[in-house]
Amino acid sequence: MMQAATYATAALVFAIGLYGVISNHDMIKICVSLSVMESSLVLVLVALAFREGGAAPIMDTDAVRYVDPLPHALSLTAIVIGAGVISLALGLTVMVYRHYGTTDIRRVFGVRR
Amino acid sequence: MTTRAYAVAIAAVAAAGLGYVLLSYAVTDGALLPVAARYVTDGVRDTASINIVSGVLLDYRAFDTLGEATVILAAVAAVSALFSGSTIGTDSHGAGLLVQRSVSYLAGFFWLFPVYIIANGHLSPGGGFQGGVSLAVLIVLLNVVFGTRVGSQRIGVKHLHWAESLSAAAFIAIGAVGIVQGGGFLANLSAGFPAGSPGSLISAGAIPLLNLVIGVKVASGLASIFYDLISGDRVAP
Amino acid sequence: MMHGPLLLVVVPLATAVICSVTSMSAKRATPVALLAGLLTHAGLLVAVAIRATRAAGLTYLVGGWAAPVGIVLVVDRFAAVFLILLAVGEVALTVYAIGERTVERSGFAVLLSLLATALSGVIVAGDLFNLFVFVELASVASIGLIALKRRDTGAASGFVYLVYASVSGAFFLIAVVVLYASTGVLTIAEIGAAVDSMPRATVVICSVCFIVSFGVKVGMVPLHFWQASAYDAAGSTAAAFLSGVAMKVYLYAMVRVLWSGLDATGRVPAVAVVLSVAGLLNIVVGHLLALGERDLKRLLAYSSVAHVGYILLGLGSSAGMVGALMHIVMHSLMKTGLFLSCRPIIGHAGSSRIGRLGGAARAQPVAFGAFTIAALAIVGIPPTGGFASKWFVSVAAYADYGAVPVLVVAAGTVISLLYYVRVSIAALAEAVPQPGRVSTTRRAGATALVVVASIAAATLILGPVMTRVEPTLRHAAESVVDRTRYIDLVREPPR
Repeated sequence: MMQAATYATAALVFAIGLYGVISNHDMIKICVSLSVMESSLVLVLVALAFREGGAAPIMDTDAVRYVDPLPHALSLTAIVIGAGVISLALGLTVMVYRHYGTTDIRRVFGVRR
Repeated sequence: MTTRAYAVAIAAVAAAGLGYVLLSYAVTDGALLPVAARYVTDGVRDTASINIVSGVLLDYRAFDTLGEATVILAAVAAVSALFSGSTIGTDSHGAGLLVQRSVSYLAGFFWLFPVYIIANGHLSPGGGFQGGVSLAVLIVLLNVVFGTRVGSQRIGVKHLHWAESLSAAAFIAIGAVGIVQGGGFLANLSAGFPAGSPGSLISAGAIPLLNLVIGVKVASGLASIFYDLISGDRVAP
Repeated sequence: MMHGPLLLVVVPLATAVICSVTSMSAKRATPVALLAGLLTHAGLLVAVAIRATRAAGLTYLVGGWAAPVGIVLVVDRFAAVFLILLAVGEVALTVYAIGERTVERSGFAVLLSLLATALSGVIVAGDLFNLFVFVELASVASIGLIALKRRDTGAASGFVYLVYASVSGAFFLIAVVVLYASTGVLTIAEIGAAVDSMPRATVVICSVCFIVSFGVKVGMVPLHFWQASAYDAAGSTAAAFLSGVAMKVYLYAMVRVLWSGLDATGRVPAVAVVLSVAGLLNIVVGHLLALGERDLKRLLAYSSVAHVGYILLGLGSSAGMVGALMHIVMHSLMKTGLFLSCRPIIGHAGSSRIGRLGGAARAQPVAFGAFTIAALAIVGIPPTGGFASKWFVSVAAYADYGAVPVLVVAAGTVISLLYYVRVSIAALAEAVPQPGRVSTTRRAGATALVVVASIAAATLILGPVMTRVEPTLRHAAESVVDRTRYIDLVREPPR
């Protein structure tokens, strides 16, 4: 039940992020939407690891069941990669703003034509 | 409006597809699948790290971690190439006296947190990435509170670039120990790193070293991106 | 050589670190470090490729952990072909960039070696998540290269590509998550072994995710919008590498996951049809966009879109893997040649507008000659290698889908002949004195011309020699079409 609810939420968050990426023209809003989209996948990974009654996989307790450690490791990697990509996106946004005076991607390409 | 309609349609299809597939795998009471079970049962023996997530990240799948650290390296290289020729404005004076004073009293405690997170990466939740990010935030805080003049003199871009390159080199060097000692690149215990007694601070072989290297690398990388983003207009075209 | 597959990733990474140190402390040492590092890497690529071809495959266990627990690196005969492509492209580009002083652009050396790291990583990755990491690394490094040259348009085009690449990465990650949930492993070969007991719906969804994900990267038609502006902003040197090599490596990764991992065409025959239809769409749309384009670099970018179509058409045909592989090899050479040889031409004209190329042929005869040869090859005029690869793709497509694809290929050939002739006529015309023209009058260096001429020579020679190369490519194609070979290679590595 818990996992199903998280999956459904993650699918919704993914849709919100994807919608934001497609429909926005402001570069900063696009960056935010990309972040939202990536977070939904982290949510999926955490839900994937979940086991009913499982403890965190740190072996100083005497728990009987543990959650799956691998998706946690993957989600950490995915977060860091996402952070790198978003920081690059923000760098490009600053550069575009400096040269065109706007963060509206339509106007940026309109200026060039 | 048509863009918006398309966006709604695409997002709805994606959500429905993703939701459908994921829900068909929603089994919470199932036992762990073999590979995950192996990590849980043999993880401490294999890696000497009681934090199995750290064990997976920095031992079983350390090559992924090298890759993601390299992604940060690439992002830093790209951003600093974009902003090369820009200089950091030194005209910001930072926050008021009250804030500056209180932060300077608290600064020691602020440093303690990332150091703890990095040093205990193999014992408790945390590790190089989390600690490194907190460290980078600390550098940002220094610049915001004391102004970029003081901040960028204390910890300059040049230092950060050196720290990043050297920690990347150190990561490769730690990996290469495995090639020399046998056990393969990025091998941990089988390359002769001391296991210690699992659960104590000095244990888990190369994992604390890798956490330290990654912490320095992430902190210097993210902080140098921060410096690039706040740097002023290009001096010469 | 025991560590061969691993060194393919570590050597260029070390080169990147060394270049980033030298660019801070000793700027003049950077080209030397880059050249030394990437030549070593190219040598290793060739050595590993030859060894893998002889031994029918190499594997490497990172950290000593066996396959499903740890990360395995795999080089089979199919991967070996791409290692060779990477080696050739890398050497040509490095020498060219040092000759033309592109390498002095801040960050170029570091990003180029990181891209080499990422592409080697993609080729040798035997683990799905590891593949994801290297694909993301490749996008970040390519975005850096795209944005580097001109910071205004470069940053905007780079941003557009970044958005596309992030969506592509998200779809890839969804497929990874679904496959992990269903099999509990991430090793491609282990997924391949478990795929027979997987529900068909899972295979369908994952195939769709992978096709969308890599479709963005290679410019499959509704997802190709980033490409022209990105290649335009990147400059000819970087575009040559992105279109000539990086795109081929993404195609490799797509084939690897769809064939070796998911058995997509076997389990879901519709996947093959989708790939073929996408291929035909790419051929038509790409050639038409190129025909209507007035800018030389954007024209070449649209031509890339069209040529991905031939490759996809080959992949979608049941006996087309050899043809697709052949076209991958040929297009890699031809497109690298076209982009690199158009740089001196554009440099002379001071503009990449086709209408302003007048006089360029006379001023840059070697570059123009190489451009013409590469153009003839890419159109598919018989003695060149471009004809042979199109022929193989067409024959395979005819066997499956009848005459329609063959007609489309023929029509595409005619259209591409039209637009390349248009470029040649423009370049052969007398120079028209233009008041507002910014003539750089910078002559292309001898090094660059040698690189361009040798690529042109290679495209010419590969035509008649194709019958010799064909058996090697056929073996390579077999090693991916027969999925049990890949699975056995990882499960029981040769001692």
